[in-house]
Amino acid sequence: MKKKDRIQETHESNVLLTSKGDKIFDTCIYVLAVLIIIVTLYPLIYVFSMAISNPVAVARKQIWLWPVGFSSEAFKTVLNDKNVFIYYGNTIWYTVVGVVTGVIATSLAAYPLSRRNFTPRKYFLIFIMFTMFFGGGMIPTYLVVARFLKLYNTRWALILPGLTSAWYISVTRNFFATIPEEMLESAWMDGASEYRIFLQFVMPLSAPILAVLALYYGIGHWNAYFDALLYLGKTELQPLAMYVRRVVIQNSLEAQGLDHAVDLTYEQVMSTLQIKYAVIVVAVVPILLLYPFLSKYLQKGMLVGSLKG
Amino acid sequence: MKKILSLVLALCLVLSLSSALAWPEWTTTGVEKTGTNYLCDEKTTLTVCTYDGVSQAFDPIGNYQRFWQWMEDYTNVHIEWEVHSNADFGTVRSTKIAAGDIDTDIMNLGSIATAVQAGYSGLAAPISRDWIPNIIEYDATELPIILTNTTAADGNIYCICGNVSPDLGHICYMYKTEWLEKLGREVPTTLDEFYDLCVAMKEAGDLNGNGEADEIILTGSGMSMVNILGNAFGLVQYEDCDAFYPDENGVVQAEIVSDAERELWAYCRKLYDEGILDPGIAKTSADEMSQKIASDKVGIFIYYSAFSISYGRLCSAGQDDPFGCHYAMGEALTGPRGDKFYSLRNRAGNDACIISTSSKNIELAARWLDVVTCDPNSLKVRTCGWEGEQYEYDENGKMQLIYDEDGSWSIGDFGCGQIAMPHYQNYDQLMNSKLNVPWYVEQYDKILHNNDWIAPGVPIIGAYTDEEQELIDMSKTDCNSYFKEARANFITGEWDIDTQWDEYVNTMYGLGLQSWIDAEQMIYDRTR
Amino acid sequence: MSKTAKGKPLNGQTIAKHFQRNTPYYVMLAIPVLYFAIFRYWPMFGLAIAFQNYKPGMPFLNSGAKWVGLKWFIQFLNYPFAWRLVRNTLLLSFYSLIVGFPLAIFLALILNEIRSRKLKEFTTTLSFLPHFISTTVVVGMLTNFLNINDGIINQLIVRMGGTAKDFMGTARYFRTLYVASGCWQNLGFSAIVYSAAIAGVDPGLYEAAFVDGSSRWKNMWLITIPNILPTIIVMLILRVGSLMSVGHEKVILMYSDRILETADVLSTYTYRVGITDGSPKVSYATAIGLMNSLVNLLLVVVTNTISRHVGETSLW
Repeated sequence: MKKKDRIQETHESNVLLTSKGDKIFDTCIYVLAVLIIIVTLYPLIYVFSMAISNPVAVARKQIWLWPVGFSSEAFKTVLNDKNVFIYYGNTIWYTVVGVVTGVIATSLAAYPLSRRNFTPRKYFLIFIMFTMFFGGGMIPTYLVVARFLKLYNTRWALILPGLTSAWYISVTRNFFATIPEEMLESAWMDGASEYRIFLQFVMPLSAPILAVLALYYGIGHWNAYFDALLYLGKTELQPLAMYVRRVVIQNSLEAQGLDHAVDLTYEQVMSTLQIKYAVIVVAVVPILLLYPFLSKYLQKGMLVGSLKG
Repeated sequence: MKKILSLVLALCLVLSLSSALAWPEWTTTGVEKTGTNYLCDEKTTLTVCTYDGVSQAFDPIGNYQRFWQWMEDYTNVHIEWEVHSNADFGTVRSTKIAAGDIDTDIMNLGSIATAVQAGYSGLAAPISRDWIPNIIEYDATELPIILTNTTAADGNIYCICGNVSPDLGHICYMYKTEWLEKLGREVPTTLDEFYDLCVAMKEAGDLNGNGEADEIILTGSGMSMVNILGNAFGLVQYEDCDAFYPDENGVVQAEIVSDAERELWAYCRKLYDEGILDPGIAKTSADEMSQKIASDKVGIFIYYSAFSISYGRLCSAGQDDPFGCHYAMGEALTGPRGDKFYSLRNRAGNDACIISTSSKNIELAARWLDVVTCDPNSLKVRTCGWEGEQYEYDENGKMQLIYDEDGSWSIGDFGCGQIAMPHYQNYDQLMNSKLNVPWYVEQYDKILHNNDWIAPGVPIIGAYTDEEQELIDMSKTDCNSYFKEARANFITGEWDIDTQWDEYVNTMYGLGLQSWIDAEQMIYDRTR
Repeated sequence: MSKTAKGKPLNGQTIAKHFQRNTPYYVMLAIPVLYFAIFRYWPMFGLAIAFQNYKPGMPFLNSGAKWVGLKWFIQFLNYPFAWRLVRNTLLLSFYSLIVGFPLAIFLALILNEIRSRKLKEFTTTLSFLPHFISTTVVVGMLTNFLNINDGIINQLIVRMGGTAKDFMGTARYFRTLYVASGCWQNLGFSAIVYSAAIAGVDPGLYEAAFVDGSSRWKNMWLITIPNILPTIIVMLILRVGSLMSVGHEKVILMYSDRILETADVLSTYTYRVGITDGSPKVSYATAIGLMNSLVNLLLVVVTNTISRHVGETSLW
């Protein structure tokens, strides 16, 4: 039995023997847990309910938690716009490419820095770590990327500037350093090159930390909007976040395919709010579906990867 | 048997799909009436980058499609549009300039000053006068400030303005006729009458009869709409902040720190506190305002009259209502000191479009812009519509409107309707202009006849000298931001206007307002 | 691999031999180093434009641009709202820190103490779900919940007899909204670090405490917290180090003209002045950014030094 389970068991078996103080404590904890659940879930449920309810009920402000009536008009309107799929495709592209390149670049940097026999590593480490505390800033970076490197209006403008970061390299490096030196030495003795050691030993063993990296980069790219605002003029290259921002925050009627609102009928007017919420649902649903799987990796990774300097 | 069935099904599918496609409602673009003016032998494609907006010249989506189709048939030039949202266009414009990458043939930079800067830094190609015959003609006969406005200090023309008429619709008041009738009131003419009407509407309660207290008495799209109320106090300002006027000694003053501004804000604060002014006005985009109007909630709204006219359904003027729509257009309100005028954009300087130096079709792009903005046929289509649909000529060759059976006239699916009227200094000029559209005159006769149309002010021109530019750069952004912040906070009552006005004025000067005033003084002296 | 002499970079080998032995390492480092050189260090040269009258189009360090020394820095210090920007930046970070930091620890402790395993897993998993939701969506939800006409919060207020308010448009509420939405989005995720640390606490300690008759409440204070203190301190140093850099991404989504009084921070001002402005003041914006970065650097160094002397934990 693992240590953790033993503790759990001990705690649970203590139920019968706990004092009143502990009982109160447990109740408080229970209440707090429920509160956490409510606070986390309520906005999401409300948004979903609003998107799917009958428009008349929405106009009459009858929705507090659960849907009232049913109408898929809002979703139909949103999904009718072909551009939504383009934006989605872009987001997926940026996420996948960003994760793959990010993980590769981070590992490539972390591995040599974790090998004790690589003596100049201190200098490289300083070279990389310095960027964690100081940088050029928004404008010079923009000028370099957009102007000198001519990446404006290209997809790579969203991938390259944020390829990796000192922080993740550091975390990965720590992990690599925990791989027993002897194992790698024996592979070396068997005549394997460093490349092979890296690819066939280190990487598979590092699956937890790589998963965490993938998650971090993935979330980062999935949600990014600011770089797109700066670097992408063409709407066909833009990620979903830009679309969400335009429709939900800037109140543009883009989602309804209505460029000028004068032709709105009363029904269409009523449903604008619903459409905004429908857009949110559309943007968030894949995350929600993938979430159960992702969270397992995350918890494992955090336990493993951690934070000791 | 199965094969026949599937064939029939496939046929049905194809038919239903094709009928579901939205065919344009027009069957002809009208080129056969106007003739053609091919700019190139083979159909060429130009790319244009602009932003979407209800009342700006290059609106490639929405109702202007037919006009652009007409343009394509007329000039044999096909346009591919790159359209951005209005809110983000500032960022897009700046980032493209900073990136040094104007990748479309034509780009709408908004202001002439920006275009001139782009010209200086080599992004905008200078435009030869040989390429713009229509503009030169228009400048000579109709509007002599076009060329002077757009010519930079080094003598080159770097941009062509999409709007050659300086004002395509001044801001006006629109009153809901139904509610006026219910209250037994008329369209107000003075500020006090206006206030009384607002109060009456507020106290009347459920005017739209739906049982909810959702009536909005006064709204507009954005806080800048309250500027129009400023006209009654003697303020010239048209849109946010660019308002300077010369006093009797020829010394330029800034309106934004004047006492009249303070009066205006105090008045608006009163409207806000009494629940007359829509608390959500600051956040209301034009689209949202239209939604509020369409859902029968709005008593009075303030917006550009071009919007009202070009969509043909929302406006009428005076008591008669030939348009068959729901709002009556109101005239400028007379203020406490007898001020009554419409502040118009006294400049031909909107939507300054540059031609990128990396374009392969610089001359063609210039000629195309020339045709769009000043070609007589193009102007006729944009301002009046289609012959045989919106108007026809009678025996004397005079233009007459074509009304529908219900007595209303609409621009229908064509939608431009940007009337090139108000740049005329007075009524007589309008009557003698080639672009005189009789129905427009009819509608505005009662309102604008005998009134000053253009409020006095320092002309807002495009091409600054370097010195002026530097002075302006130092403070304009900060002053503009602070002005908007102050306006919103004073009107909603977050800041108390009585005790904090002086602080506001001092901060404004602290932000460099004086250097801006100095620049305007230089411009005024130069152009006097 | 033979023993290496620590400290000496080449430990006695010639350069050629060193490279020959370590080629794979250099090859692997090539890409990341190139990345850092191009995308992190090259822009640092761009900081030079903070001392020039730079117009976009020239390369950095070009003699074509006029050198103006500290003109932009002085201009910023003379800007009447300079202090407001700094104050807003500090206050936003500070409030986020004061509220979010302890709450994250608190959350981790609560989650750890949930007795029912199912409930614990469910709540834990749920708690960092919001982190996966993009800021755009979170701010979008916030904006629409607070809408003066049809937002749920105003709906509730009106139902309870009050008047609807435009919360997002009123300066005084901004900080609260910013911090609160930040907590909703990030608290669970931040708590993970502490959960991991808590899980690493020696269970023997709990057993011993149980034998001594300690209660769960006491356990929490006397065992759990002291043992995760190193983690807490490291996290704190990192947080303090970024005190002066409020992420502009979220603020830009949330702010508007009307609430500049509390919402305008250094990074948004830089963004407005340097990018969205009609005639962008690139040099001025860069100068402000440079000052911001320097202060950040200073904060990290100071905090780290203090921590090194006071305790044992530090970043370097």
